[in-house]
Amino acid sequence: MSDPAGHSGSPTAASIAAERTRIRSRSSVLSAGEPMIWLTGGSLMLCLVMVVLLLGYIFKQGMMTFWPGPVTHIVTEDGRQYLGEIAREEEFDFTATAAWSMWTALEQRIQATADEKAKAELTAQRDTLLAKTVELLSPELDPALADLENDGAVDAFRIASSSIDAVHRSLSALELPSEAQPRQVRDNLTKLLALQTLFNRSPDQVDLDGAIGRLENAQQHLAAVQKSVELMFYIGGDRDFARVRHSRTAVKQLRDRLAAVQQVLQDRRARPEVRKALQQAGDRFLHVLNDLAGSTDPGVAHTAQNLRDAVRVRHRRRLLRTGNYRLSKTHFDWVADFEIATSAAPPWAMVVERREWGRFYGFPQSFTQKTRRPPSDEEHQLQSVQTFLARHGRLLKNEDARAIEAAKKQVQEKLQAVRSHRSQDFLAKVKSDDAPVQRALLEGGQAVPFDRVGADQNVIGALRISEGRAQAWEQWTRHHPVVQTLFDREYVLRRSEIGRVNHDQEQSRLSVRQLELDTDVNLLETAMQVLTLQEQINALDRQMEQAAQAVEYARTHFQADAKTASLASRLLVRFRQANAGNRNDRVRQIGQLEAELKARLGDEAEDGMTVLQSFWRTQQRTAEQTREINEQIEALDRQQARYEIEMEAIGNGPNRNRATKTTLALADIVRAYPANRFSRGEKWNVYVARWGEFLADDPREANSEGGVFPAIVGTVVMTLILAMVVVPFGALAALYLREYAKAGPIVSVIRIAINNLAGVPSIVFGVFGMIFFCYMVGSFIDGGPRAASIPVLPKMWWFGILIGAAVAELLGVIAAYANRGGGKHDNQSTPWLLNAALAVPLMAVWIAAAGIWLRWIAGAESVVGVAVPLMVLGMAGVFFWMLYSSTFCEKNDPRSFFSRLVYMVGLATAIATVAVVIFLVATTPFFDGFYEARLVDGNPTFGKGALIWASLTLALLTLPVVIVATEEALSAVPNSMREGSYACGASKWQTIQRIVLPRAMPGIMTGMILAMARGAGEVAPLMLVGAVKLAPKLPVSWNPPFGVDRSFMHLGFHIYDVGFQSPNSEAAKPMVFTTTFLLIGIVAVLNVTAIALRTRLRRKFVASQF
Amino acid sequence: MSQTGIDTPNGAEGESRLEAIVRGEQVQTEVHEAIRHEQIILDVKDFNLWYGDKQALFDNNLRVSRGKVTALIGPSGCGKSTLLRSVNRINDLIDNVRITGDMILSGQTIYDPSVDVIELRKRMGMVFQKPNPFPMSIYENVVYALRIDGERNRALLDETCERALRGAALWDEVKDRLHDSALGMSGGQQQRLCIARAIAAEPDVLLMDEPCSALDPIATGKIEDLIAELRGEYTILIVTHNMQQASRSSDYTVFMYLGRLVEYGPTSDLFERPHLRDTEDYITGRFG
Ligand SMILES: Nc1ncnc2c1ncn2[C@@H]1O[C@H](COP(=O)(O)OP(=O)(O)O)[C@@H](O)[C@H]1O
Ligand SMILES: [Mg+2]
Repeated sequence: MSDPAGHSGSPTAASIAAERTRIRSRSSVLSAGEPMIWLTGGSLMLCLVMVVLLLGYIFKQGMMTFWPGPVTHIVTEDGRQYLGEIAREEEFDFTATAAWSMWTALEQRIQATADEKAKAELTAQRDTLLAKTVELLSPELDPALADLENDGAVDAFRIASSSIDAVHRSLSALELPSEAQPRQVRDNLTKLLALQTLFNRSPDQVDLDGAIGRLENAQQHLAAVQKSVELMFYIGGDRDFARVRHSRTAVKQLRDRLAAVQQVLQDRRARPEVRKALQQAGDRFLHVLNDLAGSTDPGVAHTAQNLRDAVRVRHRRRLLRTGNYRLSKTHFDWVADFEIATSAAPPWAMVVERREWGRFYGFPQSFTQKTRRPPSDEEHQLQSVQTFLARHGRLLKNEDARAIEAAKKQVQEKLQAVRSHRSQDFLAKVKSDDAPVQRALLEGGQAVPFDRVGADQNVIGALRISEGRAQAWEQWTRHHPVVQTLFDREYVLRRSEIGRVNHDQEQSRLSVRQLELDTDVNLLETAMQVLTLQEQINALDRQMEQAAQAVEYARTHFQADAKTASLASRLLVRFRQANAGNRNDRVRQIGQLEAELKARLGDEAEDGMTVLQSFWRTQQRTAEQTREINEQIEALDRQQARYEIEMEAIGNGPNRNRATKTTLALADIVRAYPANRFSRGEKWNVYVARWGEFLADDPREANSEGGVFPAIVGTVVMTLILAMVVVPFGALAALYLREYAKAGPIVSVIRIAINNLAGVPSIVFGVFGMIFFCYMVGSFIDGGPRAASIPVLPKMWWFGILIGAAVAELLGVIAAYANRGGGKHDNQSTPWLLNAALAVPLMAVWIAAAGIWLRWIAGAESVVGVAVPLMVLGMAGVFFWMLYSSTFCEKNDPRSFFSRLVYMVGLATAIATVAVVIFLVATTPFFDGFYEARLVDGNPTFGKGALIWASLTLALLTLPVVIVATEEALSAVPNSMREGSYACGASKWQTIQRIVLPRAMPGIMTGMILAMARGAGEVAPLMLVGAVKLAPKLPVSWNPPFGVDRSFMHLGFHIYDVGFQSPNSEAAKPMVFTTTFLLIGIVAVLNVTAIALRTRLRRKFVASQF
Repeated sequence: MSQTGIDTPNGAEGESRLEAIVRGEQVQTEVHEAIRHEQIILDVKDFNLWYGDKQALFDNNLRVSRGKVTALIGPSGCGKSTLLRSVNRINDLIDNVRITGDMILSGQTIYDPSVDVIELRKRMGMVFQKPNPFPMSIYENVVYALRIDGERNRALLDETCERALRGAALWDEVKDRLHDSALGMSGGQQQRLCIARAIAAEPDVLLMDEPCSALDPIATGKIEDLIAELRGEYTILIVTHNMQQASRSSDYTVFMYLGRLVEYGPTSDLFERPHLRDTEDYITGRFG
């Protein structure tokens, strides 16, 4: 620009340009949108930081849980010992109160000790500890005292005086019985007000003693007033009652506030004394403080008590997981840093994870391996002869008694000889030179060195004891895997084998129950009696067989001594007679019972007896199987019990100063390792093994240890069923709303209702699921309408309605079809079948809601009487929607009004029939449930919390998510595609099926993903519909109903349970994070799978447009 | 709109019909004599159409010749698409559409209560302004019309596909990737695919609504060539904004204005010797 100078006055071009530049530069920051960049970017960062922090925290905590930490051995100044893992460290307030209680605890121990030397030791410890605490706390004394000066006396007085006025007013409004009282009170209160003025002006010059005296005085008067007011209050005149109540509160309040003022003044009076005493106390200030706290002067005592908590210092302490619950009655203990005398990481300190009683920390002492001497056949036979004689000897007449005694003795001697002979053989065999310590286990239970075993002693086993820490550990590593394998075998036997047998047993029992229900007579009890008798007969037969064997043995082996042999033979004959008598009795009884059963069954005797026969057979077979399995389990138990490790635990007992030796059976130990000796690699092994256990095993120790496998299965199965249910339903509903229903106010209302459903608290769904699914539908499946408390229609009525409904349905369908708009006007008309299909769930929900409302909320007695009108009302609502959306809104509908009316009515009838069918099913007199037998036994199958109900409840909960997502997806399908399809001559359904749905599929999948994520993480409703703390079985099975009727474990519920319901919450805390981490992981895996599927679909259907 | 200082064309009337239309008066369509000798396939009779309260078509009378290309031209919003979409009743899908009058396709009424709309649409093919291939393979796109009829005969489907694609001059480009998604093609290819889809079912009439307006010049050229090839084989009713296109590829042209048909005649006559000055003004770009 030219000519910048001159031409002042009017604005030049240059100055205008400069001005504009200035304005532009001022506004450019805003107009360029710079602040928005920062604002939006900042918000994003904030969100990201929060999410990353949350996930990172859970990740870190979750991953750390299983890392084996070092084991620390701590000895405190006062001689306590701790061995364990440090769970966490924190700062805490160490107060004079805590210091004093430590001191008194030590003092008590000193008093309790008789031993002089120990006493001296303890005293020394006490003194060092005292010195330490005094050293820690003394600097805090003066500040604490100074802090007490701010006692808020002025405030206390002000607060109190604000009540004085209220009391004054309310009392004068009251006609108190005695004339004198209010005046006196007034005088007193006036005096108090004067005191307040003085106090406000110069609080330091208040005569404390005088003030306290006056307060005392006022208190006494007020007490009297309060008494008479109370009296008035309890007598209760109706006119002035509100006033009495008012002054009652006012007087009470004033008394409390005056008491507070009094307290403050007393403290003030006492403070110089306390200060002086403490200044003189020096090192002994803890004692002095204690003495002062017990002072008779309330001011001194109060001040000292306050001081005890006010003298405090921030200090560190650590929480030690010390385990050994049975020895120390605690799993965790706090140790303050100043208490610690020494802290070390002893190399042989072992962490032992037990199946019960939590962790054990200690040092390995020795390892014992037991070997049982296998009893020989001869020994066995002799023993049975012995038992036979002992048990049945008295069957013979008296004259033989002596002979029997002699025979017994002879057998005993022979047994002795055989045993000691075999014992020596056994010892010779097991003896080995390189073995560590070896001991023989005698019959009485004592263990003696081999060379001290007498020639006639019965050795039942041998012990190999490896002493020393390294040796014990070495033996442990060798034998624990073996025991673990045995334990696993036993676990399988206990779980699946026993479970299978129990299932058979239960089924056969239920078959009798069913027979009872069918024939309406009692059978099971009698059948069980027969079973008992049969078992007794079997036992008798077994005894007989054993006796015969024993006698046979005696006859062949005691040939030399014919007397014993013949005695045994004679005894056998007697025994056989007695036995046969018993046996015949029972056989006869069985015959009687069977005849009775037949009589009871009457006409159905033949079929009934077949059922009963098979029941008896099955019960006997399963009993036999159970016996066999138990024998196997016992054998495995015995093998596992061969190994033991002896540990030395320290820091036990209430004073934490005792060392104890404890023997742990290897079978009770999950894992043990000397943490401090372990290299990083070995720790890594432990870490991986723990993760494996966590993922694949059952929980133990009230869920705070072990695995979460059942919860993983429960969560995954529940989520899958949920997805399988909610996606089709939600997608169909959305399809109707978006593609068929005419947009209008009613559809808008429905859409809003669905969106609101998403905001309903999930626990409400839980309640609904429990009442509707468990108690109504579930009970109905179990035992028919009667079990679900639904009234049953009389048979004639039922049939009448059925026939009526069938005719109406037929007519309705014919009418609707004949007058349908479909075919020729397919694009426009709403398909009548889909209309009907949508009406079904709507009606079901309506009926259920009405039923619940009636039965449980309104408490109606006769449900039918009220339900029918309600149902009619509901049906009317549905019809009008249908009519509105489908019939009146058709465009260019060329049909006559009459034809449309017929279509409408036909449609209405068809839909009404659906409702009637539901009604008929619900009230059928012909259905007694699928699981009635179990219900009679008191075990509902579906009428309780179950996996399927949980899935359905969550399906309801997540329905809005799917509907909204599907609707979005459907509306995102470009209209041009629909038009293109119609232009090709496609009908509406063909268009939807071939164009719209495939295009919307990824969106529907998105809905599924969201629903699954929401459902898998839900906890509250699950508590009501089937999630449990500990499920006995996994919710999957080969037998119908395939386990969906079982209660189940769920990770979300597990987190809640472990974190907040666990008795050992400190130990469970890390598991909360691990389980959370796992739940997030599972949801992520489910989602990633679904997302991968969606991406594939998307690639197939939606590619670039140009 | 202006009509100042322009030479009155040969044979054109002096008075402006467009002004009459703007005033809302009823205006006779100027129909050229040549039309009367043609064989008629579609006869629009006194056709009125309302979107709700708003009338979009006024008293349309139009006789479309069999086997010829008839172009609809006119300024934006004059109702060309509406008229076209009324022929196969796609407008039925829109709420609040009301009509009076009728159309007759090969002697059969279109707006009769007894007419099966779906059957009707099957006799026509339609190509839209923006290519709208379906989210499926090229092959399935082409045989879509047969598929919805339930045709399963593989050989027939294959043959139809090839014929239609050849007809749409697309066969050589896509014959190796018939089973790839149609959505992966270029815009021009997609539009030709839509044409193939439309001609696959051997329609009586082919309706095209500005088929080139969303395409680049090269793709437009290809489509134009294609229309030229289809000429004679099919009866084509095409809406276009492009005067050159109309003049090059159509036999007859209809000029529409504000929902009314103004002039209708052989393309060459209409472009070179329009009867009305308004038509000339529009064609020469003096308004619109
Ligand atoms: N779906 C509709 N609803 C209401 N009015 C419409 C609709 N479609 C078109 N119109 C109106 O009808 C008139 C004709 O439109 P259209 O046939 O698309 O014109 P053209 O294709 O000639 O540009 C326009 O004024 C337009 O606003
Ligand atoms: Mg248009």
